[in-house]
Amino acid sequence: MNAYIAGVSSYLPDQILTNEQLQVENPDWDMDRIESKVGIKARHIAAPGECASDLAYAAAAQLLAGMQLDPTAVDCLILCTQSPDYQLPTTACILQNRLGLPTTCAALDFNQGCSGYVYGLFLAKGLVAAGLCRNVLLLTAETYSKVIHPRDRSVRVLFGDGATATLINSDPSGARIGEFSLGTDGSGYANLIVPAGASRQPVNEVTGQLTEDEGGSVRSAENLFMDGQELFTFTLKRVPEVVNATLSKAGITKDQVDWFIFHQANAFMNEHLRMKLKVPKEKAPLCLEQIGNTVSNTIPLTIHEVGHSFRAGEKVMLVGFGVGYSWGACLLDWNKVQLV
Amino acid sequence: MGFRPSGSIINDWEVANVHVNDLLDLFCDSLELDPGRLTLDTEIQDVEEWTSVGWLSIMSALDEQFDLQLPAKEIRGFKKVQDLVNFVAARADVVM
Repeated sequence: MNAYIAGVSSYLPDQILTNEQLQVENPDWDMDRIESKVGIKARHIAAPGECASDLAYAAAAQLLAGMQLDPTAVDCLILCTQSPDYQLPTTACILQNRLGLPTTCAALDFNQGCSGYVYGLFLAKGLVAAGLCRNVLLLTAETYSKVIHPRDRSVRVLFGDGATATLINSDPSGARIGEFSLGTDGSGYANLIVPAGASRQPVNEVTGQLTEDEGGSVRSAENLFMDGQELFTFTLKRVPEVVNATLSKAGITKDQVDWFIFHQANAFMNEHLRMKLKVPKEKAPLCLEQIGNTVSNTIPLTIHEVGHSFRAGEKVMLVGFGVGYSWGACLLDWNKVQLV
Repeated sequence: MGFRPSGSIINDWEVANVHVNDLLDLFCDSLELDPGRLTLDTEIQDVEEWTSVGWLSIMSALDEQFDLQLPAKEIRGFKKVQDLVNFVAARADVVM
């Protein structure tokens, strides 16, 4: 049995953080130069008290309403997040109740970042293709802003919050989910990390102490840390590999792919990657100018934004890569996907 | 540019070499510095524009133009521009 994407929706929190605001707040940041490099002008930021489940709820409710799907038809809810509402319980359980999904619905969270959407499709396809589930609701939701120190330029200019919802089922009128290639290299775990706050390094009197790095960015061990150079090195090594592995599994060439939806890390990285892979600009849309890097949301947000231009029968490759390190790619055969 | 990794023993006379000055120009260009701002003796930490984003530009330019990957962990060992040139020269034919 095959599995298909039937619909995609997205939700961005109301509050917007612009480069102008960042410039006023941080006179020593060269926001014009940063903007020209990273291609981001604004990001949406969750309000205090607005959590991943709130964003995910909004995206999911919009999808169910837009597709006129009876919530009782959903028999599996999968939430990809690294910003859960609580350490426990599972945020997906809270969402099952809030969305009015039946108590016969399976619900689980999984913790992945920039590769998360591809991983979610991997799980959903497996469940549907195995005949274990009929309608899988895949949600992505992140609020990285809550662990970013306001004076950490290296990450504050990049990341935005948001959520998406995708329905996967066996109705062949949707976009068929094809071949996958996934990968993992945990040796890079410390290069994109919130070091303190869980079991390895519980919060204590020292974890909140601020330090300034050589670039002038300020953070504590309770904040997000990213080594941009290491991530760049990782990306240039792994992404071409996973793209080629996926093409080879599907028995097609790069030229036969009509659209490449890369994780939207930043314009500089994505453009370099695109040129390295020799993918024409018009085949690899960028969708981060007004929303920034929204982690596991970037791929479905881009689909939601530009999917209207895709035609039935076109091949779409999705490529996620980042925190973990974790990466993955998959192919879609585009068809009628409700973008609501 | 006809550039290729060193170590090949055939037809070396056919390899178009890159002059060290072209490398310095490439670094200046990546860092948005006026041409000629950098010499082999320049201390990297003395160049205000040589930020972490600047390094990304250099990594990108080396990869794009010479298919040469500069790993992030190497960067921490570089003190002078000469060190960076040495890294490139160990992997490609640089005319000093």
